[in-house]
Amino acid sequence: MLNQESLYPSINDNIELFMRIFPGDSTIKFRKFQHPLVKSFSGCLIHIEGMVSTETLSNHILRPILHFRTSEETRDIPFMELLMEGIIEVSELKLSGDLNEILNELLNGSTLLLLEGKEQALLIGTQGWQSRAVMEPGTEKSVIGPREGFTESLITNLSLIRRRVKSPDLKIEFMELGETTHTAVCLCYVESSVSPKILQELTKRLKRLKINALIDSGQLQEMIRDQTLTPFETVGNTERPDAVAGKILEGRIAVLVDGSPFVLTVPFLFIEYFQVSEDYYSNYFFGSFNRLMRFLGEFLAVSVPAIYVALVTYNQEMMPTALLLSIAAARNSVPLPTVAECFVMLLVFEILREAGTRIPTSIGQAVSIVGALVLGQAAVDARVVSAPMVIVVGITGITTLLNVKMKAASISTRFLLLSLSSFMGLYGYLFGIIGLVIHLMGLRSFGVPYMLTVGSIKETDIKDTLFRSPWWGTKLRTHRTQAERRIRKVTR
Amino acid sequence: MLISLQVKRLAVILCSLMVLSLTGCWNYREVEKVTTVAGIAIDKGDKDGEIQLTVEVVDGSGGEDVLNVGSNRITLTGKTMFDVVRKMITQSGRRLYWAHAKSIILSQDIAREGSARIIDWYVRDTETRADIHILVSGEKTAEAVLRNDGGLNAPLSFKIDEMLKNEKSLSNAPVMEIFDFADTVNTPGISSVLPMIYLTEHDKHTTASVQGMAVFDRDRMLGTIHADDTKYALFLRDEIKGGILTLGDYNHPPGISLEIFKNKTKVKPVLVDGQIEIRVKTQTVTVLDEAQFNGVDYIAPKGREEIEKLAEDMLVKKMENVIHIAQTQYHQDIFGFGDRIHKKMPKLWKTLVADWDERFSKLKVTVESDVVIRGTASTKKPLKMEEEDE
Repeated sequence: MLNQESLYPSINDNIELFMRIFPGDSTIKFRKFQHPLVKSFSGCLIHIEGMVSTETLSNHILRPILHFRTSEETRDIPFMELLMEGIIEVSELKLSGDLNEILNELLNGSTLLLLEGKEQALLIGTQGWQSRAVMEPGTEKSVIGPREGFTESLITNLSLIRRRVKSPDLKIEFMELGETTHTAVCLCYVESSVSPKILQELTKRLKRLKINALIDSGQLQEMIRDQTLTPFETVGNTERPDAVAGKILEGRIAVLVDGSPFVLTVPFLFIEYFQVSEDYYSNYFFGSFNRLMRFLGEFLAVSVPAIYVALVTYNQEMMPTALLLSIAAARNSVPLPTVAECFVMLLVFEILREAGTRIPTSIGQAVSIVGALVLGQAAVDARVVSAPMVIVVGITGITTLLNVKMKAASISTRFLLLSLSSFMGLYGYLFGIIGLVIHLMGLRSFGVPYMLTVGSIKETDIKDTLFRSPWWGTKLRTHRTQAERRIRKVTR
Repeated sequence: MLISLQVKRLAVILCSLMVLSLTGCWNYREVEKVTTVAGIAIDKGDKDGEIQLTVEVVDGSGGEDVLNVGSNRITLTGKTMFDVVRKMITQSGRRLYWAHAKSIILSQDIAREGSARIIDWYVRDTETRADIHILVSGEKTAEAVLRNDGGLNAPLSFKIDEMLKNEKSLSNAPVMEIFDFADTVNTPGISSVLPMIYLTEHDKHTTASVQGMAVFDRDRMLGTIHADDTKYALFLRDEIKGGILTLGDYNHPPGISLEIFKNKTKVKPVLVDGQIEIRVKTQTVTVLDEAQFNGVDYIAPKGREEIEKLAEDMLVKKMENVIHIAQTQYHQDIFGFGDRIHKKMPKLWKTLVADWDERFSKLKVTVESDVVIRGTASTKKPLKMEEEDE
């Protein structure tokens, strides 16, 4: 792009150079200045509008320069040195002659200070752009526990983590990804807990990436995961700083991407879908109960339609007589066969869900009215669908929302099980479940078995799985936590 | 290389598509496309060699209100059971669905001529389930019982099912499922019994009621035992789970009801001078639930012992009576004494099994009873006594 590699000595040439690089871009601001007393003290400030704090620019850079009084002692010192050592009241300063670096810094919100006759520019850290305030995370709300959520600003996000883990053991490694976007990516881990092998593997995978644009951590999530064909995530993401702090303390590695409020954590195990921050802050009976509900909900979310279809079309003898008769009565004169009815209704539900997600809030109510009235009540009254099917789809829909993060996996698993049970009844459903278990058992996240500790009955292994055991029951961190210990063990 | 990979992939996709479609739909049937059978009544047909089958069906066409689900009866005759069953399609239009049937009622004619022939299809077929209740009609035909709906809209067979399930707090008829029956028919040490079902009339409605039992010699019915005696036969069979023991009545003191909480009957075969004898001992835990007459002291240990003694004597007398009926009238071991000997003294049993019916008729049985009154329910004194005190 550039055949030029360094700056010109003349200010005017340099200004022209930048105008050539950014033709017609009026957000590039040039401010020429001339010291009122010393003729040779002239130069130019270049910054991008909106990326810098104008307050810093005018009060702490421009004003001190123009108000600078020369004295006997300072007469022989070059102006650039004076600027760097005393005049400019900004902590972050750097002198550079490399045009590429200069451009990057400019685009990153630094202000360039060029002096007449100098081929180097002073890069002043004046970053100051508008960013969203720290708010409660929208995807992971909690009743008890911290309300802070990550924002789009990497530095803010790092501070949110650091404030929770105040230890020199917390290591932060930066790198840059995206050939065009130059997005800052940051690895964050606790050195004493992290598994060096996983860290090495993660760094290798990140270094290997050749991508043009990195906009959100979601892209990275898919690019660094183990390449297996599965709807289950093997890289976790969260919007909660407390969750990330907990996870890195357990030996996981967090990957932060500038511009994304979602922080990735690796390795990610199946059980983490069901562990919610709030479990750890509320009463352990309540926490365990909620976790059990999530497990049950997931089971229902993938199984209810399949089991219903199997019972109604193959295994009627498994139903209580009263239920059989009531379903038969409700299904009378419904045109579609049960299987087709189930598929159609589930699809309709997915459409409603997708519509509800994208719809502007001002017309959001329309979706619920259409969903509840038109598709629910009216369809049953008109005998287009049967009432039990509405209940089945309703239960499925609600239980899917118990584990929102697992949505993708739930939906695909559900349709798979449904197709199997529509061919072979409960027999097919069980086949599907067996296949699902085999699949999950075979998955790995950064070399760690996805279903780690599932099937173990050792006390230390199951303390934080189906139930959350009370804090006083888990001995104080004299030895490593179970997840950390197990992860280390399998990656040794 | 690339082409072969694509071909391979295509082959896998095609194969799996074919496999999936070739499975067909094994046993696929929509729930509203079958007619659910609730109960069955079996009679002899009018013509020689024919069976008449009556089924009560619920097809869920009663509308959305499930409680009002109506039932229809279909009666047809045919040569064999399965013959009639398939012919039913001509009446119902759909195939019958048997897995939810609750009860089979046999007519006395059928039962007396041998019921095994009739139930063979039911036990053998894959569409039916062997945990269905089986009863014998006390009326002229089984159809008469099943045709009667007692003015209720609910299917009669479901009501019979309820009745039999609640038998455990009544104990006036045995509860037999078809596989129990099939079992006992083939076991030499115990004779089969089945509950009886009658029609009784109440204000212009007739309703079915289950009481008493039919006694069988293998699969042939011999006769019936009255409901009052049936309870004590159940004591001997160790099938008592609840029910009431009464002492006296409205006009005769002490007018007491004892509710049975728990009963354990021990049957012990013993050899006395080379002769086999049976010793029966019942242990019954009861609660005094009703005392109509004053002056019955059931709180003091002494008074309580008296009542217990009365109950024990009554039990022994009644049990001896029902043993007498079984020994003299039917010559059938309906209590399973032979089975008990088989288990305790297998070698001896081999010498007895051949003519067990005769030996049973002459068998010496001693009955002992132990009744314990554990409590007096919630009221300590009879109501009348309190009135007199005031």
